[in-house]
Amino acid sequence: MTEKQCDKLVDYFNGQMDDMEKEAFETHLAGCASCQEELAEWEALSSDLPYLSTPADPPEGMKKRVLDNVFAEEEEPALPQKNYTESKVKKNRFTKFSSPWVMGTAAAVLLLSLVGNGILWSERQDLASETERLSEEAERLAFERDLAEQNLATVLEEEEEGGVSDVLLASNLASIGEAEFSGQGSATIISENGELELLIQVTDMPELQGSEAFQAWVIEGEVPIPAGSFTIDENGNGAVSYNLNDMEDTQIDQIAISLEPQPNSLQPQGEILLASQ
Amino acid sequence: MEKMEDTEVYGQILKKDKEALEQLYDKYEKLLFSFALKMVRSPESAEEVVQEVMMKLWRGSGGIYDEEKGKFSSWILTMTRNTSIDYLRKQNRRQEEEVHQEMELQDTQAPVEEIVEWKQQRERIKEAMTSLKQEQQHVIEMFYFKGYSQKMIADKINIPLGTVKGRIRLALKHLKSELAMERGDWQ
Ligand SMILES: [Zn+2]
Repeated sequence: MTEKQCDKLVDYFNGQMDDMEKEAFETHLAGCASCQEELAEWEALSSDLPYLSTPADPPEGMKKRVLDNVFAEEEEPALPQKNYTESKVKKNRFTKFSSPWVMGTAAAVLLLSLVGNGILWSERQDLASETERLSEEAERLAFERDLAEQNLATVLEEEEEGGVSDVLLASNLASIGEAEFSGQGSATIISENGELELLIQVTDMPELQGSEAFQAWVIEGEVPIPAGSFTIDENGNGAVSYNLNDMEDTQIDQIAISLEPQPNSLQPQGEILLASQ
Repeated sequence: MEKMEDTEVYGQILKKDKEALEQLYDKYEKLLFSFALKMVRSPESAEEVVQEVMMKLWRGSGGIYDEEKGKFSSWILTMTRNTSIDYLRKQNRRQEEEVHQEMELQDTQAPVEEIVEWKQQRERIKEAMTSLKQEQQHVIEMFYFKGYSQKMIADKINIPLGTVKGRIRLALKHLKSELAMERGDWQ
């Protein structure tokens, strides 16, 4: 059996696995020194093998097309970027933030992309049919997700009117393992009318089984504090909003997402999938 | 030296400095495009792959680079490879392809290349590659540049599924020792 898993390294390296296979393999990988070694070796190949490519001239005008498209993505939302000036992004008296966070204008741009995604989610709100299959708890979570979306919408509106909410910080959430994991997301902390809200949004997450749920954690030092459970839609997208007001003296070092057997765990029981850098 | 520069430019990109992304684009355009072209086989597709890589860099959605992940160039090349494989899977056009890559390896009319480092790298690796048996070259092509599944490789060269990984390992081991020998010659 073990040897069979070892063979699958090829498909793992080449991204030829579905989420379940991948998960099973990653469990194997964590405990298999020979696979780890081999994987490291394969990864190291990328410093040599790509140079075998025959040098080719990029097509006429490619640079302009590519860069225009990349930058256009950011500017698409109706929100003018100047709404988020450096002065608006300030530290909140509630919370001390440590350096790993992206602060300032970068945070604003991340919020912009959050808002962009928010528009997508509302198109996918035809979750009603799916909720039948979900447990009561999951239904509640789906409701919370909608709330999170509404929160984003509210933030958007208010910002357009001149704004009462401040983006305190924003960070990407990325896979923490060495291995390739498609899921990703972002965490944003917003201060709005004296309320401190954590908004989390994820995409490309693996399918949940049974009563499983994703859970957000605010990590202070080594201590994880639960910050909301959530589920995802059929496209692997999900969101949660969590009120941080009673975390006044919390030093937020990191934000992480785990996969839990049950919603609303008090301590992480499952694997941490995503974390801020 | 090169690493420092890339890391600095990358830091600026994280701060949403457009000029920094442009600078990085200029530096890597040709390498990424050529590598993507080798993998996805059409200039239009390769352009899409490069664009996707730039988007991932700009949004930070392809993960965040830090020096523990090795050289920046390897990191961005791995991202290009993964993006190419995704692209190929989406296109689902594997079936049409015939494997005639060996020809390319023996291609002697290397175009004049202004990026000296790349040229040296390429000569070195090409030489190592051509010293391998045809079959081993073929295995590396299918495995690394085409991103084939274990099963596809087994089918293409008609070997049992369970022996694919061993073949890859052997081919890469040879390639590695060839490269090490060449490196030795250089010094
Ligand atoms: Zn193994």
